[in-house]
This record gives sequence, C-alpha cells and structure tokens, in this order.
Amino acid sequence: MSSQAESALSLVQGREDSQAKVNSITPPPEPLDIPVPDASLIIRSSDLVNFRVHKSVLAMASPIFGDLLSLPQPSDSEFVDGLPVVQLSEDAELLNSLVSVLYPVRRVIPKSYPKMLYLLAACQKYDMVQVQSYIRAEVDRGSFPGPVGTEVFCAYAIAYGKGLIPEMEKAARLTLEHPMTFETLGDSLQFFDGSALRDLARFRMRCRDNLVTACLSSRVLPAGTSDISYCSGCHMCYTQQWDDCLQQLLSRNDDSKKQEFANPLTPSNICEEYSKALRSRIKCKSCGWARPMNDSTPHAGLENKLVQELDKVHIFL
Amino acid sequence: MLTSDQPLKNFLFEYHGADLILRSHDSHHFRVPKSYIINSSPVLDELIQKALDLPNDAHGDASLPVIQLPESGAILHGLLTFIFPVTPIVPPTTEKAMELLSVAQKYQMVAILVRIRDRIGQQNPPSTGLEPALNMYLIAQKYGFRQEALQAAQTILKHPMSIANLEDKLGMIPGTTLYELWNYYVEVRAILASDLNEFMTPASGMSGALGSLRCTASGSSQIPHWICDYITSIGNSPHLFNLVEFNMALARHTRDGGNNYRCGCMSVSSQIILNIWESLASVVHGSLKKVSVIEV
Repeated sequence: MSSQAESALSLVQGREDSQAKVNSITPPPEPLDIPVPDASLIIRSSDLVNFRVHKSVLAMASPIFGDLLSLPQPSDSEFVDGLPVVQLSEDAELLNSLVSVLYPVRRVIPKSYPKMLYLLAACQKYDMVQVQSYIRAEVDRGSFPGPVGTEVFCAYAIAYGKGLIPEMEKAARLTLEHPMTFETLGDSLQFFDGSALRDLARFRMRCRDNLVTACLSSRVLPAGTSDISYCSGCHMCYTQQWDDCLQQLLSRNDDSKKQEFANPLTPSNICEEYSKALRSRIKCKSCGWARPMNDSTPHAGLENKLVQELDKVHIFL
Repeated sequence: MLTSDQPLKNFLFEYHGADLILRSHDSHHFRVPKSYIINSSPVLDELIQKALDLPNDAHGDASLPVIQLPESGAILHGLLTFIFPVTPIVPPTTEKAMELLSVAQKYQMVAILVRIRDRIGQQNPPSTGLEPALNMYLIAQKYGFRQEALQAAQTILKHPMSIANLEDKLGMIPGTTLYELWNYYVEVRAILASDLNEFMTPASGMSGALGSLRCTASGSSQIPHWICDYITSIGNSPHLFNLVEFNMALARHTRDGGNNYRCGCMSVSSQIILNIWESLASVVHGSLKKVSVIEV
C-alpha cells in the first residue's frame, strides 16, 4: 500500500461511534445542496455521500489535506467522473456543514451543540485552525448553537473526548448550574469516556471548596471589633465563630457530599448555603452581626468574588 | 522464562498413555489422552481430527500429534484440571477465573463450564463490596458472561447508585457501562415499586405476615405506616433493602411515637419480624428475577 493510500486510510480510522449516537437522537440532516463547479476532488462521507470540492481550497484550509493531496495518486485509487475520491470518517451531515464554511455559500449550521462540537473536532483533526476559530466566534455570537440545559453534560463529555479544551472548560462550568446526578446525566452517560466523569466530579468538589473558602474569608465584623474580639453575649472569639462555620460548610460527611452533587453549585447557591450555616451555627443574639447575607440584605460584592473564585478552578490541575 | 518448548514444572501435565500433545501459545506442552479432550469439547474434537488427518511429518520432531492452542500454559493447565480426575484449580484472580470460563465457553465445554462456575462460587464467594462488584461486572461484560454480570449488577444494587457514592470509582468505569448499569437500576426500581405497591394491598401476603401485630399508626389495610414507608423507600432506593435498615425504621417508629406502650410495635416478636422480612424478601427477589437481561 502506498504512503498516500495509507494516509487516506488513516482518515477513516477511529470512526466516530459517539457521533452516531448523537445523530440517532437528533433530527435528520437537511438536503445537501452545495454546488461546486470545476471541482477537482471528491470527499466521501462515512455514510457514502460524495462532496465535490477543490483540492486547493481544502489544502488552504487544512495542512493535513495539503500534505495528503500533494502525494502522487496510488494506482488503485477510486475515481468518480474523473475525480479522485478520498474517504473520510465523518458523516454527510457534518461534512455538509464543514464544506459550507469553506465556500462562500449559505452556511449549513449544525442542528445542536453536540453536533457543533463534532464539527469543531473535525476541524481540530484536520488542523483547520482558521475554520475552527471562525466557528468558535460564531458560537460566541450566537449564530451557531450553544449548549442548552442539561445538554451541557453531553457537551462536556464530547468536548473532553475530542480534546476541545475551551468547550470542555465552558461546559464543565455550565454543569454547575444543574444537579450532577444520574437522573440529570441520563443518556449523556454513554458519551463519557475514560476519566471524564471522575474529572467532572472532582472539578465540582474543587469548585465548592473554593467557593466555601471564599465565603469564609469574607468576614464581616461589627463596628469597633476585630477578629480576635470576643462577643459580649456568648464570649466566643469571632475568629472561632467563623472557623466553626467553615468546618460546618466544608465537612465531608456523607450527607454534605451527597448535597454537593444533588444540588446546583452556583455562587448564589453557595451564598444561600453559607447564610444558612451562619444562622444555624451562631445562636447568640449578640452575634447577630454575623449574618451578612440574610434574605433582605445580600452581602454586597460577595457573589462577584465567588464568580472570580470559580474562574480559578479548572478541569485539569 | 516461558520461552522454551520444554514443559515447565509449574504447568506439568503428563499422562501415561498420552496420545496427544496440547501446546500453549507460550510453548508449554501437555501430554494427554485425546479421548478426554474429545469427549469434553466438540470444538477441540474437530481440531484434533484435522490434526490427525495431516501426514505424520507435519507434527515436527514430536513423537505425538501436536495441537497448537492460542491460550497460555497457565490457563490451559487450569482447564485440564477440570477435564481430568485431579483437584480442579481456579485461578486466584477474578480476571483469570473469567478468562478460564471464557476459554471453556469458546471450546463449548458445557459440563466443564458448570463445574468451573461451581468451583469459582465455592472458592471465591461473590463479594458484597461495591468495588469488587464493579470490577466483576466489567470483567463479565468483557467476556460476555451474562450470569456473572447480572450477579454483579445485583450486588451493585446493594449500594446507593449516586455520583457521590461512586465518586472515587468513576475513573474505572466506562460511561457506556455506567449507562448500562443505570438503565438496569432504573428498570429494577420501576418493577420493585410496582411489585411492592401490590404487596402492600390488603389481600397481599403482607397482611398475613403481620400476624397479631397491631400498630397504633396503621392505615385501613392494618399495615403500620412505618412499614409502608420503609417498603416504599426500597422502591426508590433498592439498597435500603436490608435487615439493618428495616430495624432502624422500626426503632425510629417506636422513638417518634414516644414509646407508646399501647402500640404493638413496642413488643413485636422476633418471629413476626422474621415473617415480615421473609415475605418482603420473597417479593424483592421475585422482582429482581424479572430484570434479567443486561446488554453485555
């Protein structure tokens, strides 16, 4: 087998089974209608749909195709209408979108965020840096679909599996807005490979620890007192009060661990949880100052601080 | 080193009157009478017949016909201990024991499969721990053993199926396996909930099991509320089905009722508790039997 044939073969290996799973739960593709006159190459999808393209356009967008197409044709190459055929592992729906962003035609926008991720993954695979950046910008602008609801778990799993780091980080943060339970994960579970789920669970725990620590470092003291002052009512050191509260929030008993996953984990949730911990911990009336976030007067700026703390946590340490 | 064509002591299997050599992929020789092998496995029978049809010089320097097999010497040795009248040896690890089973299955050794399974059951009774059960499920799935996979899945049911509980084990379970286990769990829960609801109707076996028990907090069916609550909780969380949880539910009831001495639950006999538990266990086990298909 020639080196070119081997290269072409390598493009079909690693067939995207998870992509097939996404396709099975999303609507069918719209008709393929991209006219490409004077084409010099056919790329064939995994479901055997031919796309006529220009070698020069593919080579410009992808150095990998550039290298592949610069090699001499193997003698046993397939030709259709006199054009050489390159077999790819992506399905027709994905290639339809990909080809549409390479040409000045109406863009074929992926039907869902998971499908958009597979498009980005194909760009990554073929080293189409500019095309990938363009698609990411379109997602940010809202022209291409973004993640919706608990779809973020599926999005995270796909992005993790495909090595799409920005999308993985973004999806992981969005999962914090939902409970992380098997019920919520549902069908997304089948998309998790390797350590993806474990890493997401650990990310969630690190986020919680950071948020809780930030809460507790935002001590609000009554006028004229310091950390080492004692409350005149209960005669406890204020620092001790806060530390007790910290212990309560950080306690790793089974129930608190369960709650970490059973509830959304957002700055506002943590503020509320923190407020509850303070109220239950500090019974003394004289320590009433230590309720910085009662229902009517939320602690100014704390949520912003928590958002910043959250940004410091990443999936990979 | 396992490179020599000479049999090693550890794996020695020499029979007087042997008329066949089985050679493992790591070049261990087992001199055996072919009649045992032929009677144990139709697949090996066919292989042996083909080998015997070859001209004599096809067997090389060996004085006896040689059958080359793709298994390791250790696994073949274990398999032969189940074929011949010697003490059977089950490999020490679950992985290897499953490999042995898979080889017996591959060679269609129906009777040997039963013997190996019995021996594994005797030597390594299934662990009730979550991690060994997950490990067993993964291995059984790898080799396509439904019986072992189902047994492992039922053990996993004895533990809470939650991210928090599985957290440190998530790295060892592929998502597709978790998905499979979750679907199994959901199906079991649905069937359990339905069967347990039926069990709590007045005409069910539950009423009989209660005997003379009269609780001050009972519904029209005479079944104490605390028992109903406990049974309902099993439908939601199957891991709560154990005698300790049942006794804790009873203890909570007597404590929350302020130790009301008029309530029969305060002095319920151990026989009634046993009756209730046995009838409940019968329903739960019946439900589990209904969910027998796991995609492996």
